[in-house]
Amino acid sequence: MSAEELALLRAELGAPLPESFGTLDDAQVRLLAQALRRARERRASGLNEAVEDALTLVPALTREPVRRMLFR
Amino acid sequence: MDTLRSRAETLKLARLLDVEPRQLAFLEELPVEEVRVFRERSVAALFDDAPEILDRIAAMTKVLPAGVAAGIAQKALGPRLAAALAGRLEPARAADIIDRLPAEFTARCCHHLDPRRIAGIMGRLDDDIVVRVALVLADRGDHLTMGRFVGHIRDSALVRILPKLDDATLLHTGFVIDHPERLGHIVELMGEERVSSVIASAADEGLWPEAMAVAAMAADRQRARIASLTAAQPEPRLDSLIRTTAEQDLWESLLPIVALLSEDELRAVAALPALRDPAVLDGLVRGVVATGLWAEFLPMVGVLPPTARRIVATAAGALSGPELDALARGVDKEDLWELVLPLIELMDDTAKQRLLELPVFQERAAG
Repeated sequence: MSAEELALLRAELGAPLPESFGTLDDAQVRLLAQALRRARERRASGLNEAVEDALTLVPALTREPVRRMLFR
Repeated sequence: MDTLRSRAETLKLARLLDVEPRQLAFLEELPVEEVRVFRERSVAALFDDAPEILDRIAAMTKVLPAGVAAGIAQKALGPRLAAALAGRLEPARAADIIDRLPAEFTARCCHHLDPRRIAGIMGRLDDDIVVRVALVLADRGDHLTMGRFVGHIRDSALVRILPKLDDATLLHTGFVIDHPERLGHIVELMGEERVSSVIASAADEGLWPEAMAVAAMAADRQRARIASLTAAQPEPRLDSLIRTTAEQDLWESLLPIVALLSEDELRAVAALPALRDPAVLDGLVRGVVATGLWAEFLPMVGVLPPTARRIVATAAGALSGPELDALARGVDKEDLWELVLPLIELMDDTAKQRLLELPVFQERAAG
């Protein structure tokens, strides 16, 4: 595996990699890094969508002030 | 045991990252403890990096009565956001709100909850809600989430939940339990009759790997009891255990369990039709060479029917030089010569000669 791919995975993890992960090949390391990144993106976008959905249930008149409080 | 533990660990990581488990099958080749560490660091990477907005919503939630907050969580936030919020609240406050939510909604939240927050919240929940949520999770077939939670459930709730779950659910959940040190106690709570029924279901529903993993994680006393109850199963079920073990090369999981049997039980196992199949016995010998489980294997060889013993001797005699050397060294290390000599006597002359020429024999002869 290349040091570059490992560095990318380490960055996605935000922590050191267990030693044996150094034995994985490039494609495997890349797959893990992508899976982590996508999971984080899905989580963030899922939360934002949930907040937007939640706001639709707030009475129209107060929706904008509440939105400003949350997204200040 | 590591094959099954690795399988379970890979399943948990795949679920966390929301990818197909087979995509991560390559991780089963790595030490399972390191994959577990990677999963724990992934949990931190995903859950610690929460958007600031969550803290603001959590702050707003704090000033609301728990009933109102529960209403908002259910009607406006949805399970994903509610679970993320529960992870930002004080466990007592989160538990207070969860107590007012329908079990169906809470069960959907459980899937999204930061696993590190489970212990704090579970300890404060009323038994009634825990039982209801567990049953909803079981209905949904969400065994991975159940596996995260089960280690934190109080006995008073467990004794109400266990009789209501089917055997397959118990096996699937036990396989992925996050706190395996609790398994022995849970098995104890189940009682002998139920454990026996779960073992029968392992055979009937193709769940022997899950059952072996559970047995391996149980405490010593329960493991011996599980081994005995397994040996008492009818022959076709036991035969399916051997066949599954051979097909999936799980001898490293089965042999330590077999080693716990009494001599009579061992004889019953050794007489199984599957253990007369040369392909099965050949795989068994190779499995023992690979895992070094000689002390677990050789007592069983001693009670195998003569034909099967000859097949084992032939398989052992046909091992490659390094494999034969590993066999001899394993036997020497654990001083198992008394058990292995009758096997050597059954080998053909060529195999005997190859054995005698091994360094370990030469050293013994010289010593």
